[in-house]
Amino acid sequence: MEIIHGLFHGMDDVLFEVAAAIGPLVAILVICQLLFLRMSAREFSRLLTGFGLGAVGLLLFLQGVHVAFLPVGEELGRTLTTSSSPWWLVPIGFVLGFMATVAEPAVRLLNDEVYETSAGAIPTSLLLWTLAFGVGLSVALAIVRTIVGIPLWTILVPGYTIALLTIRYARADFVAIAFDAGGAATGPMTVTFIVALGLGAASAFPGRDPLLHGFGLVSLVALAPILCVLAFGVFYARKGRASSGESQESTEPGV
Amino acid sequence: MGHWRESFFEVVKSTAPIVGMIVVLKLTLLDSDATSIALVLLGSIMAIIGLVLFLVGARLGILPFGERLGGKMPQFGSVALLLGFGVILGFAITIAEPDVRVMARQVDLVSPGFFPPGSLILAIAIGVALFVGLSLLRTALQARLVTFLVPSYLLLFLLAFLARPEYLAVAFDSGGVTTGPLTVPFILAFNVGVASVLGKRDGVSDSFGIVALASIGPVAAVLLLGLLLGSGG
Repeated sequence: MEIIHGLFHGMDDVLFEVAAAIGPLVAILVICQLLFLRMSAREFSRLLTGFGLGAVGLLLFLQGVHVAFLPVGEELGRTLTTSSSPWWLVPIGFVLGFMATVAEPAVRLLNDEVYETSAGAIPTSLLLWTLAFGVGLSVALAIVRTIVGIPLWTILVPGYTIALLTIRYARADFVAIAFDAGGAATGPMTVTFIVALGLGAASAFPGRDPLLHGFGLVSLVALAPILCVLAFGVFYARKGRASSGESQESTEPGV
Repeated sequence: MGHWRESFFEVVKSTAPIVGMIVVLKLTLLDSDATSIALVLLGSIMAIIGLVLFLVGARLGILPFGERLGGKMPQFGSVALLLGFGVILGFAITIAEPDVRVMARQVDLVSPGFFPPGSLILAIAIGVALFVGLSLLRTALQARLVTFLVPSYLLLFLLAFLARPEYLAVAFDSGGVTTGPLTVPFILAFNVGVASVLGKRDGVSDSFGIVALASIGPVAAVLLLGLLLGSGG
């Protein structure tokens, strides 16, 4: 009984959130269908079914993350920070950040679109691993930041400067994907779970303001995948240039 | 119904590692009473079922709708109409994004009156709207992403330099929270659709970049708001 109660606790809030988020999209769908899209009834109902399934799925997914993952993240952050060895949080943060990204829905759908538009030319599984590695690194870095207490801008400004400078050397298609990946990686899985971990750590650590140190984590999670996918793109530009003896036009460096 | 099978195996494969890791951590390092372990397991199953449904739904509805709408808009032959539509779109989906409201509430909780929640949400939505428009302009002009990206980041650095440090973390995080699970796939697919009609140079680099620019907008807007509020008080 207690378990059932815990499993559905707070689901009405999640339901409201999902309804509020899907509402405008459904409204746009209906208005555009009436004004100019004019799809067949079959096509239109197929899209509506997709929206419905998506909304129910998002509701169950968010509720599951809230009940199963969020408390563990917070507990983990709190327990390890107060233990004798808070540095253990750094490797654990890396592994959890990596795994959470592999399970992130928006990352999956970004991969779908990349696969489709590049006609399979960009290896999406490698892209996924690169992205996950980047988020893992940034979570580890964020935990170091909490333990040591470094100001946010000392990471963000050099990070974005390196990103902008690297653009020159990476392939154009990777540049666009890299900067989009930063947005896709900051999805519900990573944000709720990893922020809980960071907040737990910051609240238990002496002399750290939990909310001021909890904020800023998302921006680091957004930055690291950009750098990693760009590095991947530089590697690809190199590889392309090395084999450009056979095909010249396929690898135009720069943007 | 290949969608179902494919999505199911994909989700199980992608969530198994993190669920396993959490159970192991729970059993070794953390409190491991029967109730909380059961909650973790049942909640994980719920999240997995939800993710399967969400991916099937997105592939059936949200992605095709975004691409179809994006492919239709340029056919009216008016760039202004396309941009206007993009601005409205960006504004509407951001106002509705749950994460944005959650963050505005959290910020108000830590420091009441620092950022009035209404003005924070409005600033974020305006920032997203303008930069979605800007990104569609790039797609329509077939311009390179760097020509828009570099000046935007330089503007951010300038604003970050001028604003008080307290505003910095909140501003940069607002770029991440606006790109939620519904917004990202939808605007991605929308831009892929627009680029499939307008972009001819290189499919991939024209199709992507909209999420990147859409996450710069709110950061700039929140930093600006910080400057306005800071100079007023």
